[in-house]
Amino acid sequence: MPYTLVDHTGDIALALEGADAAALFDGLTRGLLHVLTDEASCEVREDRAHEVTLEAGDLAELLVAFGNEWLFLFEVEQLLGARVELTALDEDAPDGVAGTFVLHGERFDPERHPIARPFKAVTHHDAVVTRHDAGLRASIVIDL
Amino acid sequence: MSRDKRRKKKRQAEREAKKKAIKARIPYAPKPYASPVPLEPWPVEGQDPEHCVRWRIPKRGAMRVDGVVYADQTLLPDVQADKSLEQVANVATLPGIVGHSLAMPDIHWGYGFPIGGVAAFDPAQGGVVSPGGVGYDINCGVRLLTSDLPFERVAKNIEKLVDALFEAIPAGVGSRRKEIQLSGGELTELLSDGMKWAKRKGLADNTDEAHTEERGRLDADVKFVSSRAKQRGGPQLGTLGSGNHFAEIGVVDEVFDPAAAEAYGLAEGQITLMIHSGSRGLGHQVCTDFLKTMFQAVEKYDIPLADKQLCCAPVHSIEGERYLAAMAAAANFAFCNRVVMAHWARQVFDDRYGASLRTVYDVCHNIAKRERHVVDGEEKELVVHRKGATRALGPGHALLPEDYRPHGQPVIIPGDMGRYSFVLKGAAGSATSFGSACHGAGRKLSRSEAKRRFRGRQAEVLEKHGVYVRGASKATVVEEMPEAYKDVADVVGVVAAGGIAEPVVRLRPLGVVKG
Repeated sequence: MPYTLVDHTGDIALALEGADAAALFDGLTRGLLHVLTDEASCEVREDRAHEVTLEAGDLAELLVAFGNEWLFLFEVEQLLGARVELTALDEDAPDGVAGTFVLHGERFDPERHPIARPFKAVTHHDAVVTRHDAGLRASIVIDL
Repeated sequence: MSRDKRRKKKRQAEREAKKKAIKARIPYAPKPYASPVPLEPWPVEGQDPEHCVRWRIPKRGAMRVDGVVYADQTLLPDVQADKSLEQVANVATLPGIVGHSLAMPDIHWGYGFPIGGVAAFDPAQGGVVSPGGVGYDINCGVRLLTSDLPFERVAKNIEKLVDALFEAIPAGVGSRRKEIQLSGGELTELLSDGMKWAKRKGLADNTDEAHTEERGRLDADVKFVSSRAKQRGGPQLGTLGSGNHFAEIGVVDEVFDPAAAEAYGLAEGQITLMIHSGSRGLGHQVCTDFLKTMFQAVEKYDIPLADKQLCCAPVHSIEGERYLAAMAAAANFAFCNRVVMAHWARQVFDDRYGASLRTVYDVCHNIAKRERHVVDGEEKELVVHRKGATRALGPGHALLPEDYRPHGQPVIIPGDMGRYSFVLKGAAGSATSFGSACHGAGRKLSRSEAKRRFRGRQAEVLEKHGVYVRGASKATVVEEMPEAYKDVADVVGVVAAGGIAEPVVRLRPLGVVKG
C-alpha cells in the first residue's frame, strides 16, 4: 500500500512509503483521492490530464505543494486526480527542488463519485521525508 | 575511482551542501518545552485555589511571555493528552508578543498555533502576524438567528423543516445555487465591502450589519487576493462547506440571565438557527498562498521559529500588511457567506411558517485583527490572533451595538449536535484575555475513532438525542457524532469561573444540516 491513513485529532494524516520520490507522489495522489471519495469509482481518462511544474524548499515541501495543487485542480477544474507521473525532478532548482507532474484522472461527477471527506488544505504541519534502506517515507497532514 | 564516479560524487556533495544552505536559511528556535508541559496554578482573583481554572506555563528558553491556560480538573487530562500545550509555549517565542500566550478550555492540537489559542502582538515592538495563528478557514465563525416561532409550532415538523433547509442551503462538494453568480467585479466589491455589499444586494438588513463583529467588514485590499483564491472561492458564496460546518435548528431551553437574554431577543421556548461556516476555498487558498510568502519572510527578517507553521512577518512589513489585507478580504467573504445562507434560511422560514429570522450576533472564530487593549496599564493597538476563539467584549465597550452595550457582547458557543450550545455574554474579566473566550466544545475522539465506535449506529444515537440530521456526506455525520466532542458545558463552566464570559441561555438542538 503506497499510503496509510493515520489519526490526527480533528484531521487526518497520510503516511507514505516508496522506493523513490515518484512513489511518494503516487501514494499522495492515491491517498488524497481515497480521503475525498471512493478510489475505485475514479477512472483514468486520456482526455483528462494536467501538467504542472512546482518548486519548493525540499521534497517534503514539494509534496505539500503538489497536494495543494491536486486540491486546486479538483475544486476549480473538477479534475479528480487518480494517478500521477513525475516526469522530471530537479534537486538543484534555485529554490531547492522542482518537479514536473502529469496528473491523470477524470472529471468529478457527483452521481458516480460519492464524497467521503472534503478537505481544506494539505498542511506543512510535521511534513517530513526520511530516507531508509528500502527508499523513502513521508508524513503529510490534511486539514479537513 | 573513475572520472565519472568522481564527477557524480562531486555533484552529489554540491547538492547536499546546497540543501543544507537552504535549510539553514529558515532560522529555527529550540522548542521551550516537550510534553508533559508543567502547569502552575494561577487562581483568578477571589477564586478558591482548590478549584483553580487558570494555569501558568512559566517562561523558559526562547519564550518572551508566560503561557496561560484556562481549564479545570475535568478538562485538564484532555488538554494534556496532545501537544497543544507545547504549541502554547512555542507561540510565546514569537517577536512582539505581549501579555500571555493564551489557551482557552477547548484547546486542542492545531498547526503551529493550537486551536483555542489567543495571542496579541504589538507592532511597535516588532510584533508579527502569522497565517498559522488564524488557520486555513479564515473567519470561520457562527451566526445565530432567532425566530418569532415558538417550539410548539415546529415540534412535529422538524424533519420537514430540516429537509427544506437542506435543499435551500448548498452543502458539500460542488453544490451551489444558480441565483448567485458573481462577476469578477462583483466579487471584488464583496471582498472589499463585506456586509455592505450584502446590504446593497438586499441579502442583509441593518440589524444583520449592526449585530456582526466589526459590522461585517474589515479593511481589505483585494489586489493581494490571488486569482487562484478567487477562482476557488468565488463560486462557493452561500455554501456551507464540510467538516464541522453546520446549520442547526435549536430551541432556547434554559435562560440564565433574563435581562441579557431579553436584550439579545432570546426567550425560553423560542426557535433559533445557528450557521457555522467560513470563507470556503477562497480563505483556504489565501492561507496557502501566504504560508509560502511567510516562509520567505522569516528568512528575510531573521525570525527564529520553534515550529515551521508559526511562519510570520512583522505587522509593519510588506508581507505582514499584505497578508492582513488579503485575510481581511477573506473575512469579508465569510461574513457574506454566512449572511447569504441566512437569506436562504429566511426564505424557508417565511415560506413554511410566515416567520422571520433576526440576527442575534455573528462572531469570528479564526481571525487576526487590529484591536485596542490595555497592556501594563497602557492602551495600545495590537494585532490579536484568535484561532478557534471568540471575541468576548465586556459591558460598556464602545465597539458593541447600543442595544447590547449594557450587557456585553453575545458570545455564541456551539456544542456538539446532540446535547446543547450556549449563548454567553462577554464579562469584564475578558480584559485579561484580550477580550477573548472559547469557541466550542473541542474534539475528544479522532475522526477514525468516532467512525469505529459509531458506524452503523448513527441513526440510533441521534434518535436518542432527539435530533434529526441531514448530511451531504455520511462520513462527516458519523465523524461528528455528539460523543466525539467534549461536553461544552464543562468548557463554558471554565470561562464563567475565569470571569471571561457568563452564560445567558442554553440552546437544545432539534435538527441539523451537515456539510
